[in-house]
Amino acid sequence: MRIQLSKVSIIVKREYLTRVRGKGFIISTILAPVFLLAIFLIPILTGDFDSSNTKTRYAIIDQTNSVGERMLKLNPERFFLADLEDLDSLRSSTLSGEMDGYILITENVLNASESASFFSAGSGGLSITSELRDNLRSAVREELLSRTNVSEDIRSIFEIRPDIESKRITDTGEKDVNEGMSFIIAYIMAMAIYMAMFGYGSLIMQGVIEEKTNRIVEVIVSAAKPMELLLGKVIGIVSLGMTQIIIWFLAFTGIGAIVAPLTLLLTGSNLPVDSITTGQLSNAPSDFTLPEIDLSIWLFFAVFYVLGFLIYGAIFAALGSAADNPQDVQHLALPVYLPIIIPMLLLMPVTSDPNSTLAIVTSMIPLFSPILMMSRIVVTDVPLWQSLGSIGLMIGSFLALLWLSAKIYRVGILMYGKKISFGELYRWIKYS
Amino acid sequence: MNLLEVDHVSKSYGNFKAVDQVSFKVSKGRIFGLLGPNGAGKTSMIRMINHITMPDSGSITISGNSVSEKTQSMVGYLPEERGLYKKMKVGEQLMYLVRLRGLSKNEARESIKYWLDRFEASSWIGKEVGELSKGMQQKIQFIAAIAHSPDLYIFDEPFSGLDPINSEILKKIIIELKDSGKTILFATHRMEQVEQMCDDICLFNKGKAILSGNLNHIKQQMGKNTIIIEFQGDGNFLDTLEDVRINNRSTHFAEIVVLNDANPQSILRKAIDAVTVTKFEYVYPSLNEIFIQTVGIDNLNHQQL
Repeated sequence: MRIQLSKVSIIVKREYLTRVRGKGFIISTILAPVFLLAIFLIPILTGDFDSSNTKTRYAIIDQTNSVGERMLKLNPERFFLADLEDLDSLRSSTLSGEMDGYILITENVLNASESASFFSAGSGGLSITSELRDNLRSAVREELLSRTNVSEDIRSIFEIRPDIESKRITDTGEKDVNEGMSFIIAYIMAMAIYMAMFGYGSLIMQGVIEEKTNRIVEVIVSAAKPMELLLGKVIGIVSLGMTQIIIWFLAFTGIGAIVAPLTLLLTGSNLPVDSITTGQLSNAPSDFTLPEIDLSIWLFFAVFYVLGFLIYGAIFAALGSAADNPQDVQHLALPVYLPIIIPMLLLMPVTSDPNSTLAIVTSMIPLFSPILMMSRIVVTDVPLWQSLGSIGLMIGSFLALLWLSAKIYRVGILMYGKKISFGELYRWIKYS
Repeated sequence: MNLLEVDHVSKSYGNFKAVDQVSFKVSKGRIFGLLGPNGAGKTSMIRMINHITMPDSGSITISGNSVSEKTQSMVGYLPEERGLYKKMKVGEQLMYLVRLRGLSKNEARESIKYWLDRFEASSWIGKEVGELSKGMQQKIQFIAAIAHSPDLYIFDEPFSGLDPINSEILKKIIIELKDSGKTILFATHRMEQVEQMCDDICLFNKGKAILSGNLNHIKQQMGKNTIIIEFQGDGNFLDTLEDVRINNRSTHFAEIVVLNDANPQSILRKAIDAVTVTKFEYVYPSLNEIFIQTVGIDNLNHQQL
C-alpha cells in the first residue's frame, strides 16, 4: 500500500493545530507538572510536619532505674520519665487522648527474658515502633556494657555505625546515587507515561468517534486512505505529546532553579528552629534540590513516551472506529486499559529490585515497556540489549498493531449501528 | 464518451451480496440517476466509485483510468451521511477538505472564496461550524464537495435533510454544472425528486442493476400507459375501478396505471359520472411506476418504497 506523505502531512497538521490551541492541551500541560510536583512535595512537607509539629511524646516507666534515663538522653524530644504509681492515671489519660502513650520497662528487660511493653491508644505506627525499639536496644546495650565494666575500646567498637553509600558506575566515572531521588524520578516518569497513554489514547479514540458521529469521515476517506488518516492522527498526537515534553523539559530546567529555594522557604519557615538545628530530620530542607537528570534519561523518556502512545494510539483508534459513541467502547476498552494499569501495579516490585527476573521479563513485554523499562532505566543500569531490545520490540509491535488496527479501522469507520464485540472485530480484520 | 464505466462489479460483505454483477456507463456532460430503494446497493456502489472500498470483482474506470487514489481527486462526493468538524472554523475546514483533494494552497483559497461568495457565505469564514444553522452547514458541505472542480460529481441522497431553499440552490447548481460540461451522478430512493433532472438512469434492486439507459427511451418503450386525472368532487369512484393500479392519489388528483389492456375510456366514463373532471391525460409512466413494473409487484417490499 502506497502512503502519500503530502496527505498524511495535511492530516497531521490539522490534528496537531486544532489540538495544540485547545483548552485541554494547555490545561494538561500546566496541570500535569503541578500534579506531579505535588506528589513529589507533599510527602516531604507532611513528613516534616509529622516529625516536628505533631511530635508525639511517651512516658517511660522504668523499673531498672537506668535504661529510661539513657533513652531520654538519646531522644529527649520523644520521652519523659514517670513513676510506677502514675500507671493508672497514665492509662486513663492515654485512653482519653491527653497523652500519646507510655512504655513499661521491667527489670527483666535487661536480661532479655522479658520484652518492654509499649501502650498507646492507637498502634503508634510502624516507624514509631521501630524508633522506640532502636532507642531501647541502644539504651539496654549501653547499660549492660557499663554494668559489666568493659573497656573503652570494646565500648567504642559498639559505637561504630558503618554506613553504605551507593555509587553508580558510568562511562564517565562514578556518581553518587541518591536512591530515594531516582525512585521519585522513576515514579514521576512512569506516571507521566501512564497519564499520556491514557490521556492521549482516549484523545485519539474520541477523535475517531467524533469523526464518525459527525459523519465527516466518509468525505475524508473519499480523499485519503484510511491508513493515511490513521497515521496522520497518530503522528499528529505524538507531535502534540512531544511538544508537551519539550515544554516540560524547558520548564523543569527552569523550575530547578526556582524549586530548591522555594522548598527551603516553605519548609524552613514552617519549622521550629530547634528541629533544624538538632539535625534530626533525615531529609533536612537543605538537602532538596531538584535532582539532575541525565540527558540520556530524557532521551529514553522521550522514546518510551512516544512509542508508548504510538502503540496505544493505534489500538485506541481501532476501538474508536468500532463505536458509534463513547459508551459503546467501554466494554472493549477495559482489556486495553489493563496492560496500561498492570505495569503501574508492578512498578513497586520492579523498581525495588530492578534486576530481578520479574523486572527483566515484564519490562521486555512491549505493552508494559513504556512504564516498566523506563523506570528500570532510571533506577538501575539496564544492559543495552534490554533497553534497545525493548525499543525494537515496541517498534515491531507498533507496526503490527498499526497494520491490524488499520484493518479494523477501515471497516469500522464506515459501519454504523452495529453492536461490536471482539468476534466482530476479528471478522473485520478478515474482510480486508 | 463515457466518463464513468462500471463493468460487472460485485461486492460482498460476509455472506451478504451488496452489489452483484453490476454494469453501467455514464456519459460525459449528463445527469445520471442511480435509483432504487434503501438497501439496494447504491451506497456500496458509490463507495467503490470513490475508491473507499474495493470491488471483489469487476472493474470501474473514470475517464479511462481504473479507480485509484488518482481518480479520487477527479470526483466530488457528497455522501448520504455527511457532516463537518463542529469545532473547526469554516475557512480552515474547507481548506483542509479541499487540500486533501490535491489542490494547492492558493488554488484552494481561490476556489473556496469563489464558492463562499456564490453561496453568500463569505462572512462565515471565521466562524466555527457548530455556530452555524443546519442550512448554513449544508451549504458548507456542498462547497466542500465541489470546490476542487472535479469532473464527476457524486451526490448520494442529495436532497435528504435539505430545506426547500437549499434544495432549489442545489438543483440550480447541478443544472449549471451540467451546462458547463460536468457529469453528475445522483443516488436516491426518492425517484420523483430527480425525475425531471435525470438524462439517464440505472435502477437498482437487491444489489442488481435491473434496468439502465436513457430515461426518455425507457419511458417511450413503456408507452403512455398512465393516466393523470384531476377532478372536483368525491374521489371514492377510484376504488371501484378494475384492472388499474393507483400510484399517486390525493383528494383532487390520481395517477392511474392501466393494466391488462383495459380501456382508458371506461375510466373516463366512470369518472364523469362521479365527479367533475378538470384534466385527463395520457402520459409516460413515472419512475416509480417503471421501477414497480420492472421489479414486478411481487418482488416489492412496500416499506422500502
